[in-house]
Amino acid sequence: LSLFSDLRERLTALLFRGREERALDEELRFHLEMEEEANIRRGMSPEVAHRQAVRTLGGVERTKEAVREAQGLDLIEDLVRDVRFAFRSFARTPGFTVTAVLVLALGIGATTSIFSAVRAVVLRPLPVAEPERLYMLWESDPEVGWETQAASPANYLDWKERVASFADVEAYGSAWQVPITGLEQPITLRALNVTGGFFSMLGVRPLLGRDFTAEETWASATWRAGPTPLLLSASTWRTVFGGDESVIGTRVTFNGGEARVVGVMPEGFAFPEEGVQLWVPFGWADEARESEWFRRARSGPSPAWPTAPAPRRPPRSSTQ
Amino acid sequence: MLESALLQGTLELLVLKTLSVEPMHGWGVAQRIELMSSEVFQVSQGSLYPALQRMKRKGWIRSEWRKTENNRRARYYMLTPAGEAQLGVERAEFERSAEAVIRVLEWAGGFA
Repeated sequence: LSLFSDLRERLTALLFRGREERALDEELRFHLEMEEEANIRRGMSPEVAHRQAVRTLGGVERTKEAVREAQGLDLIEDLVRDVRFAFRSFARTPGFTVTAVLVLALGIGATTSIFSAVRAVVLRPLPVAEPERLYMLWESDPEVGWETQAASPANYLDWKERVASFADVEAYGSAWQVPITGLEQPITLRALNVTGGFFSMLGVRPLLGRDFTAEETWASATWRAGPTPLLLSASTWRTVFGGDESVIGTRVTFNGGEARVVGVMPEGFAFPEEGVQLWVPFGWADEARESEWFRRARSGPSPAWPTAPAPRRPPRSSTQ
Repeated sequence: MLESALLQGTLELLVLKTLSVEPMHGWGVAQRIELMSSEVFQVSQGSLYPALQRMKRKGWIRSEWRKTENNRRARYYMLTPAGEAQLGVERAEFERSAEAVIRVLEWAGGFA
């Protein structure tokens, strides 16, 4: 409030300079007249009263100067004068002006683009511990013409168990919209299926609670054993679950089945893209390993996918 | 009187107090202060009008042109709500300092 009234007073004083000056003149004249009249009432002659009043009041010009100073006009006047002077100097030396503007523009432009590049590469790398050791594995089928194809769960397991070049192989599915009830309001969140060892392979630990276990890739350890474990993104935790640490253990109905929040991922962690709001283990049926669907890679949504609540898509796999 | 830096704040306090009774023009403010202080304080226009301007900028008072009882045009000043709050603050502050000064002056040696 005080800053606002300060600015308003200064601006009025500046913009209505003449009006303010006249008002101050009138105010000081009024002051003088009142003083004279008081002197006359004390018994002085009008002439003496006037002289006496002028003497008591002191210099009118000095008072005006002090009021102008109190209005804060000096500062603004100086600024206006400086800006005018600068523009006149620019106009006098166009060559210098163009050079200076170009140098500034190039400098600012270069700095901005370098910062953008550094931000993308250095400041915001993949949200994992050792991104340079990470590879993406795909299935291909030359007969059908498939190149980078989502792997079948069976092939993923073969790679994980038999390919010694990789320290670990883990898989994730495609993100899907999941209806969630049991909170204050039913909500649809974007979920991603992962294998149990996925986050520990990336070297990312939850901010709160626990990571999935390797066994939780399988239905026997997830939806058949009890509530399906869920890991929330930090922003989902804050916006949907209230951002309280007591969120761990919260039970919800996830796609019609029982589920439980077991952890919250760190702030800023996003995989494979920003929109994913929570992660859930695949929960493949253990006995499915021998079945046809488990061995077949897919290029699109598969109606033959099993009835287990979690597995909707064949996994793509990533490794290190 | 009231020219020294020490008394600058005191002048603002006295002006706030005067205006808290009723809106008043500059001359009236000076008169009231002289009268109420038994003429100990003579308020010169050279310090009064700059002080009024400063207080206006701080948002403690506002002004408008009105007619006096004798039907003359004069700029009247009045307290804003912020000014009323400021009066309370400055009054408490002044009383605290005044008491402290008196305690020091009345000190007769030794410690209670």
